[in-house]
Amino acid sequence: MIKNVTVIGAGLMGAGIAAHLTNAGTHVTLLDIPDNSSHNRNNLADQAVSKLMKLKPAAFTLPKNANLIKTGNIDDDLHLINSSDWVIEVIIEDLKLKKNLYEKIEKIMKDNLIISSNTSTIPLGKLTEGRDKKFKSNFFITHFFNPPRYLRLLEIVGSNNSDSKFKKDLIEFCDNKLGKSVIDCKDTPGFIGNRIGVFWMIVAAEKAIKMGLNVEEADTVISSVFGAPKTGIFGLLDLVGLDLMPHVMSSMTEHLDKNDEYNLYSKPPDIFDYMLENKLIGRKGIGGFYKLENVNGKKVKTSINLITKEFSESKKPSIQSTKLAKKNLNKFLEIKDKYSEYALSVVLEFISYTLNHAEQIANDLLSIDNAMKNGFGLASGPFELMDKLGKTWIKEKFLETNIKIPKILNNLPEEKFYKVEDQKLKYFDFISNKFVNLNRPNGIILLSDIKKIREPIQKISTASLWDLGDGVTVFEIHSRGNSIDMSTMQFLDKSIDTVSNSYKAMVIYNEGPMFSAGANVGEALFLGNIGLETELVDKIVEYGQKVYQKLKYSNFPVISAPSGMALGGGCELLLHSNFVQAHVESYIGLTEAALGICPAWGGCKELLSRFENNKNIPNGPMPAIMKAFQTIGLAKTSTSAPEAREIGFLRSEDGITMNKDRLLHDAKLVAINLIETYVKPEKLTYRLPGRTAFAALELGLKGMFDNGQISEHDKLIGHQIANILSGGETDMLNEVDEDHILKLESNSIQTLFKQPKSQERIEKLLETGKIIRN
Amino acid sequence: MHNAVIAGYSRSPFTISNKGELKSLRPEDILSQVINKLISPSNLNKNDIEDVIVGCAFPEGEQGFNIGKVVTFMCNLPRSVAGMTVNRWCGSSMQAIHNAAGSIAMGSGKVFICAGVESMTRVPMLGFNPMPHPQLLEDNPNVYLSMGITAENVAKKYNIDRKEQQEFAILSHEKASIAESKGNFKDEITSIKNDSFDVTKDGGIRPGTTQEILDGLKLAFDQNGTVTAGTSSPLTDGAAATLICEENYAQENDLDILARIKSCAVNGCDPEVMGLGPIGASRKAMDRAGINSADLGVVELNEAFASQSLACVQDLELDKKIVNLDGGAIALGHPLGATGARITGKAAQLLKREGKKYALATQCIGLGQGIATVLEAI
Repeated sequence: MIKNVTVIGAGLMGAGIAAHLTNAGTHVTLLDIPDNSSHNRNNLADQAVSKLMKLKPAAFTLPKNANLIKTGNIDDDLHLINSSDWVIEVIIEDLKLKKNLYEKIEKIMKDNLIISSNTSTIPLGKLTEGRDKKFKSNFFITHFFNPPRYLRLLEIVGSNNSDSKFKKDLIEFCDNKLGKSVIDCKDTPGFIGNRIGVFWMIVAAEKAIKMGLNVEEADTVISSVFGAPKTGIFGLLDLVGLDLMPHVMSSMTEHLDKNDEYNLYSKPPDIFDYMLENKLIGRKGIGGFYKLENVNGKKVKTSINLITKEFSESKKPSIQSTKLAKKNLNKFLEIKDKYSEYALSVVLEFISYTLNHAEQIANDLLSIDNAMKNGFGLASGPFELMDKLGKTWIKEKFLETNIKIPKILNNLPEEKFYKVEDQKLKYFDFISNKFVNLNRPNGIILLSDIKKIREPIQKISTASLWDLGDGVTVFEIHSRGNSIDMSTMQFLDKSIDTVSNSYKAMVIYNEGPMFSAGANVGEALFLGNIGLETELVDKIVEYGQKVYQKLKYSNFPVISAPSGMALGGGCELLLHSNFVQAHVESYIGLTEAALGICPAWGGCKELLSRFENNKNIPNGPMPAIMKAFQTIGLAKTSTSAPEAREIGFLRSEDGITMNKDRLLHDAKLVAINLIETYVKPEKLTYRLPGRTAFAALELGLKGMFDNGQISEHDKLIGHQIANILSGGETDMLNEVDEDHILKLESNSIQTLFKQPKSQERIEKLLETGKIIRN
Repeated sequence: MHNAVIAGYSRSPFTISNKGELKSLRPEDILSQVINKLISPSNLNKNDIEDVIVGCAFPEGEQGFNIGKVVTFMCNLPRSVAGMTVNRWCGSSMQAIHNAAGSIAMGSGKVFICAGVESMTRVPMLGFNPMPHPQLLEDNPNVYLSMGITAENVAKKYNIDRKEQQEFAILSHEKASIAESKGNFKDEITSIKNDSFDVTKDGGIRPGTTQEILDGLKLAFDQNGTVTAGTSSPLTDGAAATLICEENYAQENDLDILARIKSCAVNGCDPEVMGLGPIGASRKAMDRAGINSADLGVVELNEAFASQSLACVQDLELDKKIVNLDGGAIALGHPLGATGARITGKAAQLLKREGKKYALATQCIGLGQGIATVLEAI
């Protein structure tokens, strides 16, 4: 069991790893070299922790995790490694410095100390040269990707000397506790991620420059073809930091075979040199290919002209053909224009390189696809991409462009690398040249796998109900933004009946980038605009309330398993679930106020009740109301699942899963445990102070308006939320039920929906994806 | 009629709420340590203590349960000692002193501990359950105005601009900082034991505050106004206590008499300019003492806000040089219930230190009133 970890090297990466270790509840000792220029010899490590606190996006899931880090310096405190179970070296990529440090560690280390290096390119064999047997058996490479909290890929490399129990412990810890997608790599330079990924980046960037595409055009084409990342290629370089590229490239070319295709790109494009000289290294500096500039007091996004090197306002290019890339990639790549030609050239070079080196760097193609998806944010790995194109088509293109057909492609007996046979997922094993079963590790169930081998129980265009086995179903929303429109609500209504009649539990879950953006406000706006306001209330608000109540009080347990954003109506879905098993990266909030409306599918009543029963909130008629008012009024959204628990969206008994791939399995386990003993919850009742609470909340609103914190319209929204939470016309001595609060929610949203400024907020969101404050 | 004298004064360091060194201490723990220090002189017979009167603006939560009696147990006072809590918001602990002086005058006791406490970290401003009367709010919204807005109203009424308020705030920090460095707080501050360390110093004094620094602060209450956090007293944790005795008793027991309580007063005013409360109350108290502003040698005027302090100085024609000699609440902080005991005890100490004849301690109170005490040297 790994409980204490020492991280040596408090740079951006080392500190980031330290922070993420604390997110898993681990105690960390963070060491750097002593700062002899300061009276505080631990100054470098201390400063790193201070910087971590300010990082955006946040390195810690909760700021208080920083208290788990103890700082020190390697001269005075290296002995502390023996209080740890694992020591990670994260110093600069300098073989000599690393070896010096290992020599010191070797002299004092305890027998069962696991040691690893976070090197991104240096092979393990070189790192352990000259070390003794014990050191070699305890030593691994654990390569994290930046930022360590958010990028899921972790490459692990062992050797023939490696202790198998230590390796198992490490993999288990990194998978379960750190939430990483751990890939067992071979000991080759750059392992899998950087070997393939950096090659892809440099090819995509160089070809864009040579083929005359500008920054935005290249980014649009790359993100369309590879499905992600949204940043495209130059945006990704800005994110990674251009300053890292020369180091990675020179290290790769130094350690790789002289015939490796990397050598074709060993000299970076001139523009890279220019940018590095001018400190245009990307987002962590003053900007890179993209830069925010202040024009007349407003921040304007600009981009560099790759030829003239001048910056001008960045404009999204309109390339019609990229829409085709999503529907029919082959057709898109065959178009004779500079965009498709660029895309084809990058795709062919990328897949050719992957196929030529796959056997050398990886045990199977799954590792390569995983590495590119979880380390570089691609929607599909290279083999999945090839499956979209088909073997025959790829071979043709290789022949046309004089690219030698790689052995693996010749060995592939079918059109695709993945297939379903006898209700089983299979993939092509390039070592045995046979298709083998794709078996996920214990504790991992992916809906995407189930979807390939099974038909849903029932389905509409925006949602499906799946059978997960053991009486457990999965309700999956798959609309745009996983928003909930009326047909989805009707489908949920119907699915509750289906589960109630034929199954034992429902897990609400999907594998999209977000759990749910909430109600489909566009639909509501449309009904309002065409004068069907009564329909709006009956069909959307009150029907939604009815279905959520039906879900909550159904005769089976409902477990929501969110990952990513769960906002508005999505958050209300969680609030009406009997249990929530949340991925650590869950961003939960009742954000309706930001859109000029209020929660009206029971969000107010549920949150209020939770706060009334929260032992950390003082007693009395007002504290729960005030906390709910702040949370809803300010549209507070958690930046992690632990923070959602602190705010109150999650209960103390709700679970948190670190590894997204394990979320469905964890939720299913909860469901199975609940089935036997399940008793539906008792109906909620409230004793609310009515007008006196309203008066108190109004005073708060007035103060915020007077000091400029909120607008006149915010005040009006707050006024409606205050009315709901105070209970309307009631008194503390009267008991009111859930329906009473639901009616207040319904009345308030009707009032707010009629406000032109609320409609303006919704329209802007739909048009630009941005929230305005008017 | 019997005279009442102030025969002892002590306070805790005042630290900023939610981040200062007292934030994790319960108010009873702060207060009981201050009272223990106050009653430590061996010549005070604890059996003679009639009552412990504790002022507190929000006497609920940890400040509830009649904290006045609770601390008698924590200070191991004899069971015969009674305890009460009084609430006149910011004027609570000065009111505690007035109550004691009244009792002494009537012959209803000779020794009183008059103290005040507020942990604004642990019991929020307005308490846990603010429940204004909805009809009164509708009929007279001024009753429930935020204190900041009343400070803005005073600034407008007296044409006190932001710069002038900031000058006042800078001076408050300067005076407090000099006083601290000269050791002027040594005689009044009781070190408070926390779990792992002692809290020995005030937390809000910012020497080196300048107009430029204060210019950078956002307006705190009204986007069209002049009042900022820098020209307001901060939310503060702390406690203060005074020993109020019958004059002959104090002399007979050789207690260290700081000053005689010459007169007291309270007076209401419009709630929307509650900061002017000290004007009416001070006038009444000075009339009752038979003196006027020119007779004063020391003034402790609570700096709830710079604007209201300046307005009171102007209206009462006070000599600025004698107001808040060691700084005021803008620098030291204003733990609501504790401030009255602090400024009255401090005025008594200063009267002795400066060798003056009369001192005035006065403060404004939310909802529109003021309280004042005139002290006389012995």
